[in-house]
Amino acid sequence: MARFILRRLFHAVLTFVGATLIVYALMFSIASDPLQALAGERPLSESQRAQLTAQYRLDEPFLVQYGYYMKGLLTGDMGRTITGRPIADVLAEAWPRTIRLAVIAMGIVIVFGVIGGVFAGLRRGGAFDQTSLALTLVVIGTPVFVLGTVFQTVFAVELGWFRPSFAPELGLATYVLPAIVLGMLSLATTMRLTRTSVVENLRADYVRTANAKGLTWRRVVSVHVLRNSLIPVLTFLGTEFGALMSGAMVTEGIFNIPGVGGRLFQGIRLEDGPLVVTIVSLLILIYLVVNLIVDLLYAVLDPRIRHE
Amino acid sequence: MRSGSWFACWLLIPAALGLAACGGSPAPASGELVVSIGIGEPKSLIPSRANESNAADVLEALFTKLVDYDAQQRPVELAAESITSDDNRVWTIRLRPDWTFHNGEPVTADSYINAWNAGAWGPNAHEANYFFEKIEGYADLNPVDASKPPAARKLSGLRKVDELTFEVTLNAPYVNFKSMLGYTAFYPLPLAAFEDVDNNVISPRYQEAPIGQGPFRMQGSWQHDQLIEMVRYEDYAGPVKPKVAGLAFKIYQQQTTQYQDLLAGQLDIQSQIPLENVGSAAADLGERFKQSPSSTIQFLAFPTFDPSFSKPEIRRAISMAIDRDEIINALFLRSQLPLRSFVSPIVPGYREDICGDACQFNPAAAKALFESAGGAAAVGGRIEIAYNVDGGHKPWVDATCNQIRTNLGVPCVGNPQPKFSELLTKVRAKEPVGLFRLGWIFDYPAIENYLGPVYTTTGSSNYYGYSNPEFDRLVAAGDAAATPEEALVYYQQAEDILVQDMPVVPLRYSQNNFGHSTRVKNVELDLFSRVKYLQLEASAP
Repeated sequence: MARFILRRLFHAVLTFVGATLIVYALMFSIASDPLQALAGERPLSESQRAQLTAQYRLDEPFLVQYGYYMKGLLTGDMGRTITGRPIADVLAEAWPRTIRLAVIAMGIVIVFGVIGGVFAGLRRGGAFDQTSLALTLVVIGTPVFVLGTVFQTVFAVELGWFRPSFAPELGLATYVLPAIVLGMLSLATTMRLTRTSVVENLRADYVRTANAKGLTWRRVVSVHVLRNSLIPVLTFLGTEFGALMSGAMVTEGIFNIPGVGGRLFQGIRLEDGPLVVTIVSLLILIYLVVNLIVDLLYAVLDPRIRHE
Repeated sequence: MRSGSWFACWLLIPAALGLAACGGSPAPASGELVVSIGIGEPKSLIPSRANESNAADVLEALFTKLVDYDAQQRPVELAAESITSDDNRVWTIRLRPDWTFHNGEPVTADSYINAWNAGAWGPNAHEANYFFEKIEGYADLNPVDASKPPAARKLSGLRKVDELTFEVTLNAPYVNFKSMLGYTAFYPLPLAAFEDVDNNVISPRYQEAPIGQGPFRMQGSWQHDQLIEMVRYEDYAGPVKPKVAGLAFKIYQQQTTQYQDLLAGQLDIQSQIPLENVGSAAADLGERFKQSPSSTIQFLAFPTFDPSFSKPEIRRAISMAIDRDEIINALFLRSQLPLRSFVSPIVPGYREDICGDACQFNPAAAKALFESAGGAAAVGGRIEIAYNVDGGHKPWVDATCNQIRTNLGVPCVGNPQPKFSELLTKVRAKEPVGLFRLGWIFDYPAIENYLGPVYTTTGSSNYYGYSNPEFDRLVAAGDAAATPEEALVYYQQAEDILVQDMPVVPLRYSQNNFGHSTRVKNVELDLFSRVKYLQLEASAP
């Protein structure tokens, strides 16, 4: 087990370095003129152009720029954004918000998705199953920004149940509406997946055996069916957590949450290589860690799976 | 609009002031309320770095300009007692006595001299650096080769006369210098802003809580991407005092979210209602939706390196083939208005319809002129219009192309570029991008602030390479004129040349489309699209 974890962590380091290189190369290739991007439609004086080029080493070749970036990163200096703020400060403010949003969204997905899915699966063809099928199909087919704007208009502006935008003084409550929107798509998929998995497992031999042994229905479902049904769902949720974080960009924009998504968007717009690379690399790291946790959880759910 | 009032109450309690405005207490007066205003995240809050509207909006509340503008857009002294010059080259600026910064430091001639030196200091690379280029000694502070240190540390053209008086010497006489002093870059800085005043180093912490001499002072520091809070500065020396307790600039990523907050009563003022919401704003907000003129103009530029557009007849025919009114009515819902001049209608010296027939929609004449000048073959078989896709320009560019195609019988397509900077890079490299879109918002209300930067050969925003020596001469003659009235004669002659040459196709000028909540009144925007903070009043709903 320890060897397994170590090996995976080693992979994570390699992936991290590779990812930064690729993302840095991509940013480098799309950057036409970051200084003009910063100035917007305003002119830029010659001396200013010369100063900033030297300051951000924009005239150096790609590998040299990347070398400086990695050197800074390894010595704990993430550098500055092109507007002059320390990237470490920007991330320290933005990450907690995005993580809170994603975790609450994940909580909503797990609670409602799994419970709803099990319920639909147990009463296959019932009214709940049919309605939820129709609803989840609608949700899966709706783009997030449409869903976000509609929810914002209906629940915040018209009904006044929530605030239309981020309000830090409300604490975690301010994340609820955005988290519902963000989690909606995953929720729909989780529900479909859980339902199918439960339906399949209900027909499995071991369920017939368990029933024949005279176990109560409740025990058969909660211990035998559920445990086996959750493995594909867990795989999905593992990958989905990363998607929730990166997918938060649109939701954060609509609800004005000053999280990582907004910074990433701004970084891409201003061709701010170091900022984008740092954010994307951290996203990749989180993705790797979450998937490591998922792999470890497999063993808990199914003792036959061993990581040796 | 909303049932539960406790939510709305949150906004009324300026947390920083700790006023118990909610519950059974009597309704607070205007002077006890904080007004919230929506903006985007500023890039920097150092005055000489503030070259975009978000930062300028915030700084306008923290600082007071040397000059304000009257109804005719003429500069009148505000923080200055007098600004005089005999020859328009050496200007004497006398400050009003007894002004203080928010930290108690007195405002002196040095406050201005230090700030301007720091703004002009090349190694600082401040965005508004080019505003100081007219001051003597600028070149010494701004070597084009960044590896060499500047030849001087201070602008030789700034000289302190006494505590409240200083003299500014320009490279050449400039009649609009007094107007120019109303720009954000010319605010003073307290000594507390500097880490090393002799070497023009501004402390990196300064912009997190800027100290100014204006009507409002910072409450806490800049909460990036969220909020900038201010309270009334009780020792403010200006003639008009604020009528509200403070301002809260709420920072938004999207203007559509701002609008939702405005509808939900969570935001008091939105100074730019986006095009998506302009259509429904009158119905949503009623009398609280307002429009007023602003200074932005939009036009299409002809790249001079492209032989397709070298003939003025071709340029004129394209201009005549565009039905400005139709596009404005259908796409912009009259949130912008047609422009038939080369400057904005709000500057002194603007003449309506100066462009004449060339800007009037006339498909038959356009077609005839186009054919006589060589027709489709002369423009290489087709016309392209380049634009940046991140600015929402696609719909009107496509519509314009459709009109050109229909009316001139030549294929026309939009040429989308990811960003404005990429468009400029291609134009600089003289790649054939076709016509391209440009916009211009003024820095100070002078006709020269359009003619100089946009159309002169060395103009900082003349990206399309138009050059006419006679035009340059007339603008320079205007700059050097003895009085603004005399200058105007030259400037208008210069604009007449643009009518002949048609280096650009004037299209539209913008309006401020803004809205406010029921809590505030006297909401007006100035020509810079900035809320007039000092006249704002608030009342509990």
